[in-house]
Amino acid sequence: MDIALLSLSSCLGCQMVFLSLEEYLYELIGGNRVVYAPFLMDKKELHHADLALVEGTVRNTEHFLKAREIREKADRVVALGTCSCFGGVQGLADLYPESRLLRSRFGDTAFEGGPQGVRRLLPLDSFIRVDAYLPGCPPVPALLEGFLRSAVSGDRLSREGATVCAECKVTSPPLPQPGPRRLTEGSGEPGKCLLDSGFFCLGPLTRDGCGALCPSGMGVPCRGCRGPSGRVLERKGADVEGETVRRLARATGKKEEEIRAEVPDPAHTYYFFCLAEPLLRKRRSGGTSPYLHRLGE
Amino acid sequence: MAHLVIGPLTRIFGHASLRVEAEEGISPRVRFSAFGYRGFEMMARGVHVDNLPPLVSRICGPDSLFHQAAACLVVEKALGVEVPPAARSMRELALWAQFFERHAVSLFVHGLPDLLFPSSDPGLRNLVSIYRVDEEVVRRLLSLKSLGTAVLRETGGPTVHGVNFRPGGVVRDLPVESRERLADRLRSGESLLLETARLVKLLLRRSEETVRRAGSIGGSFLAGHDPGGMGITGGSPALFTPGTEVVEPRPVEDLGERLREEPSTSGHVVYAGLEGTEGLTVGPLARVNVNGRYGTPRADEELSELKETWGFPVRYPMVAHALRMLEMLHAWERMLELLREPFRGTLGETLNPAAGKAGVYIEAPEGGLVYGVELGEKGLVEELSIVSPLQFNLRNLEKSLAEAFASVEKEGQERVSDVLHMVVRAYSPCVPCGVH
Amino acid sequence: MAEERSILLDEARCIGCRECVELCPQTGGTQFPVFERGERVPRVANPGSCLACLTCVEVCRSLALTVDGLRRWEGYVDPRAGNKEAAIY
Ligand code: SF4
Ligand code: SF4
Ligand code: SF4
Ligand code: SF4
Ligand code: SF4
Repeated sequence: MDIALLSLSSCLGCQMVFLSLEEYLYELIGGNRVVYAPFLMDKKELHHADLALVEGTVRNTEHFLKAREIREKADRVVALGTCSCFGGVQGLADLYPESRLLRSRFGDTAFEGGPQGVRRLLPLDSFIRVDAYLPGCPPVPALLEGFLRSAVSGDRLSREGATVCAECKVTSPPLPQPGPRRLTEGSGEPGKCLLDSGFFCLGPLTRDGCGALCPSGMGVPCRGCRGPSGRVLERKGADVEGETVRRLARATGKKEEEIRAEVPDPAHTYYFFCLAEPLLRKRRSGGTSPYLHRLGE
Repeated sequence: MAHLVIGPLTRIFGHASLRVEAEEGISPRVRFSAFGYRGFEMMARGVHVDNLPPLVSRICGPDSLFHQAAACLVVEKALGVEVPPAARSMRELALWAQFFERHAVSLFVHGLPDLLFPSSDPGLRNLVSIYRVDEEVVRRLLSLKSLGTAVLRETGGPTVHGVNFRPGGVVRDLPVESRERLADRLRSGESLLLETARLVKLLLRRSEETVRRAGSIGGSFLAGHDPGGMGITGGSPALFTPGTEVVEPRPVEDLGERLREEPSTSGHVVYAGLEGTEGLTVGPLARVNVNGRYGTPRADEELSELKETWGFPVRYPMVAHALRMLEMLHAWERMLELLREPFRGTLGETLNPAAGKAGVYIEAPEGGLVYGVELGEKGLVEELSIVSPLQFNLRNLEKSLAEAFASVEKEGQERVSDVLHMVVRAYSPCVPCGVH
Repeated sequence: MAEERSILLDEARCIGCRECVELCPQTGGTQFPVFERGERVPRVANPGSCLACLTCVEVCRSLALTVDGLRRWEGYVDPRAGNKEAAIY
């Protein structure tokens, strides 16, 4: 199989995971042809690929043209990483109009022959058709390996979803707990559910697949790097903010308004990885549109 | 004006291209052009400090912990919080691991293939093609890289964008069993590490012509002033100007006052410099020139040999490859030292929201990273500013590229592209950090 | 009499938050509560009382509950769907 691996606007973190695949990396490059991967090799042009993995999202016309070219030349296009799937952390740029961002950094500098910026941040599938999504910021090596194995053998590129909590090995502490709180106020008791301990854990609303790496393994709340769970994406009534607030109110014995009043940065706290995802935008409650100031230009 | 565009550049961290402006009679100019500003400073406005490290982490995956550490340090300084020693050691361990990993990728995936196979088609100089002819070499190089990755996994959870750092300290300690396991793993790589260091040394000597062709750099060097720690956990930088023989300390406050940023018209990487200083360089060359030694036995032994071969202060950008290798050795030695330390005691301080303002300087793998922050009354981030290594090095990089271009101009476009790529890889610029 | 409902509680997944116990209309203040608080995880005491309203299935954060074979939908594989939710790995 001919494989292409490339990035648009990204942090390169997803590509770094390729280099951490260990034994499977050798199986992959031994049994397939890597035909295009600017990060790894000096091949200036892509002719055709059976599978193209695209990291990052479209930030300017250069990225857009590249994405379109890949779509034409690749049989299957995969959105690799949460930036590509849902806009990722850089989707938080939708909090401001692009012109304001550029002005704040470059003043009135006139660039020679640079690309045009996009009007707003969107996932890759808003620009080109995408055949499969592998979210994660970045996806952990085991997940990437599982995905690549399916892709190379021609299997379906989706798996039955669950939530991070379904993989989380914690138990609920007795309620009420102090909070709402953040790690800057100190850690929680090891082995206890962080959400029920009063922390902002997005596990219940986040897709599984990482093995609950942060809460179970490290005692750190899940910030939702695998992106919204299937239900959150599909069900218009699902409300990331509302459900978290409700559970935190329950855990701390406080009123929901009191919880909300303690969150000065709701866009970052609840939609850190998916502010740019259109499926979350128009909702009666819990929609992201109140935070998107990009189109008010 | 005759324009030649080389790019998109390959085997580097990120997207960029070169624009060569050459005309009869005037000296050529090469511009490093990278677009893709993402607006991280603005995205940070109004955030709770707890959300700051994971946010800036996404500026750059390979350097993610350095951004996280800088964000933590700057917030702690603004709030006047002293982080407990156990947390400092834990952070340092994770930072050395990422330092090691980033250098390994920069060397083995990006830089080394050119030195290994200088006369083969550039399209074949990469790990994937090398794997087809010699599996063992690739396995060995990547197994070295994985030493860093293993430490990252245990100290931070995810190996990219680890989650253990938080303003005020760290979340989790490393249990004794993990320490022992990791130390064993690191030690198992010892002979391979030394062998690879020897290889890099030989390859560089063999490529002396290319090394000289990429020119040498003048001007001053800026690096964390901390023999033995290289300043990766923060501290005061110092300036060294060859010929003056003095290392001038430059407290961060002073640095902040003299820091000058100037947008480039050919890309989103903003030039950064210090007022009153010509041609600033940061990164491996600056670290060794400012501090003169690494502070661990293996690395220093190798360093004295390198000084004999290439002279001291080190002026050739291509020699950075060898210095990266020595820094990997140093990182490896430091990781082992840190793993031996029993970390006991508290892992963090509670942060109370308050207003404050601060700046910090830390050494990231490719040089000085400067963070400035202003916190409002409620302790939220009001202003964030970031200056990254590539911004400091951009002028010198362009100068080295111009020199190299002048020396190969007549040898045809392919050769020009090949040599300029090598110069870029010697600087190992981090474009995502540069544009941020 | 209605056939007994099947309520499966996956103990490996359950974290013991007891939201199901609190929100089940047939548990609080009823004579034959579906759930009892249990030890580490809730205990299904009287499945016969269940109305199959699926409140518990819907609220369970770890997808530990199955009522009459019905589980919460979280983006399972549906090759015909062709929508984003069904194509995620
Ligand atoms: S998804 Fe995360 S790791 Fe991957 S490119 Fe985006 S920010 Fe980096
Ligand atoms: S800690 Fe977070 S992920 Fe784990 S069970 Fe609790 S809410 Fe879910
Ligand atoms: S626990 Fe959450 S934030 Fe951590 S890796 Fe998993 S999905 Fe990402
Ligand atoms: S809601 Fe789910 S996780 Fe919570 S106690 Fe009930 S079954 Fe267990
Ligand atoms: S389905 Fe409804 S009635 Fe039955 S156990 Fe669940 S919440 Fe109770």
